[in-house]
Amino acid sequence: MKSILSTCMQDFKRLLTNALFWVLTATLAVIVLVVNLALPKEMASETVQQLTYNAPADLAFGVPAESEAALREAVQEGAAIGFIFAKDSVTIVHPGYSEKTLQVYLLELEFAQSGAMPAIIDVSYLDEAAKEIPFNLRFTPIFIAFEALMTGFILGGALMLAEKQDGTVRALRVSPFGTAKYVLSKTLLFSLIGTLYASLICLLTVGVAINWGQFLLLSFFGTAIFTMIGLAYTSPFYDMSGWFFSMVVLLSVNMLPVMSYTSPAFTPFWMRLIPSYPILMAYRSAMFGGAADPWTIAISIAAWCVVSYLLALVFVRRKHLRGVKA
Amino acid sequence: MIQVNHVFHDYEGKGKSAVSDISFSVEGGSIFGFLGPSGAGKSTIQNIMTGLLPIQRGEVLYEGKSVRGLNTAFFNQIGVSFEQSNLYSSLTGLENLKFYAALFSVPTVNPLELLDRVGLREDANKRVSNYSKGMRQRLTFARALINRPKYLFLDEPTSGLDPKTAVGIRELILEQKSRGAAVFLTTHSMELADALSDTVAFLYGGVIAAMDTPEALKRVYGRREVRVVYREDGEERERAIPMDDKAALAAFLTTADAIKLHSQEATLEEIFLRVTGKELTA
Repeated sequence: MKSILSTCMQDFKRLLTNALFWVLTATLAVIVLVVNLALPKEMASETVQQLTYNAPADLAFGVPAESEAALREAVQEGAAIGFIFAKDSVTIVHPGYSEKTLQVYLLELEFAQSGAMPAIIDVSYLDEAAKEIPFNLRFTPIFIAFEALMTGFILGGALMLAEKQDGTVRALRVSPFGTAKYVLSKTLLFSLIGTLYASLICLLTVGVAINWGQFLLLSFFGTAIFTMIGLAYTSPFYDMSGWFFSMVVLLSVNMLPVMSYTSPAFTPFWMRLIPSYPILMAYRSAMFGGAADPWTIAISIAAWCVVSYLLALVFVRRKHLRGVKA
Repeated sequence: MIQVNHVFHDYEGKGKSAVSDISFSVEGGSIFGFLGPSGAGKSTIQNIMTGLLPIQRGEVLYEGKSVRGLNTAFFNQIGVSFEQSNLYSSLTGLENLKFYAALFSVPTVNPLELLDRVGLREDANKRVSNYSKGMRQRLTFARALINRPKYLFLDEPTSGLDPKTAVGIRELILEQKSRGAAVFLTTHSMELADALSDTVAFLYGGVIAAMDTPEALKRVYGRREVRVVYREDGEERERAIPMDDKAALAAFLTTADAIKLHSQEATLEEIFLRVTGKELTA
């Protein structure tokens, strides 16, 4: 344990002289500023005016347009949807709404024509907490998952490459510091840094009223997973350029679950296999409450911890600590 | 004791061995000088012995146990000073030693004491990136001693050092020998090897060309001579007479106007040239 803690300390000192570390730290500050100052708390839903032409006089629906041309002009500008009434039909003029949206308007028109319009149309949320999330804060879990938790992947890799370049990996190889301790020391360091970064972003954006137990565990083990994947991934590389460009591709794939986060209806099975998926969903649950199944998430993260640890052990042993060029 | 038995290594696997049939042993409390020019295969053998390179053919044994089956705890007994200093340049000299000391699960030497011994005490808190080449070399050497290794591997330990510092490093190497360490000294400095080694091996073209104690090598390959500087016809002249030919020496001294006498024995450098036909250069 002494050797692991000592390595953590020395790696931290090395980090303080690493430009990439300060870039990531500055990014943290930028994220907080963007969430609090640049993103709106509410997305003002644009009022789409319902314009009618030639509608029956007794129809309580929409606003009559002066002419069909005026209606079409308003729709063209994108601020209206038009309903042109004929003797036995209604023509809808719209700027490109989906079939589902048009069905909602038709339903409203049907209610108006039948005179059975309900006084209140209630909306029910599967996840009661979800409806309360301010627009700007919806992005906090994304920023945490793909910035704070990635520190280990990026900085751990940078430290490994530096060890190869200055040759210190050869000295490590002829020391009793084995692969497991090497992986664990770096993972511990970056898990603590990642947890600190994640907590700061959360505190300075969402605030204190969250499930901190879940949040801290998630941040620690989430960073651990990405750190270990990063160590395994970086092991075969010898220089920064090749590593950096291929890393961008890998991180892009890892960001795909953002699609499911913003559009939950799109969650194919393969998306759930990407490690950032359960982490992202668990963050939303920890920060805003919600319907995420804690057991499924816990099992997913535990499984990724084991897989990433084994990957790191194999690759670091074969390609970093033993694969030293003569 | 370290035993190296019939070791071969072929980097490319095409049948062209970098080193062939290398065998020797290094006793505890002795210094084994491994001599040869650049590219002779010295580093290959050291890397195989320290586990940096896998054994392809042959065997390396530590106290009878193969290096193949040794676990990480074994490295508590090893110290390696690389020719090219490999240190954390963003850390200070003291931090480098403290970090390395923490990796061992055996008692270690006080880093400040070691820095003092290699003349870096005053620069202990200076970042290694600000060290000169010689300072880095000394720090790398100090790091190899931090765990009081039973097996010490030194690759050109005095290369690039000023004479005074080099003497200090030599003393430290002899101290390691005195406390019972098996020291494997890789160098192309014949003078260093001659001064320190109990046994030397000449490596040339990937094979051991000669191996024995320095004295035995000098006896076998060298010519002990007496060089006489004498005056003749108003000019100073010089003549070498074999030391064994006492009659010739006595006859010459009684007739010649001798000015100076020098006893001279062959250096390892000359012996290397005689054995391999090549000069030993870095």
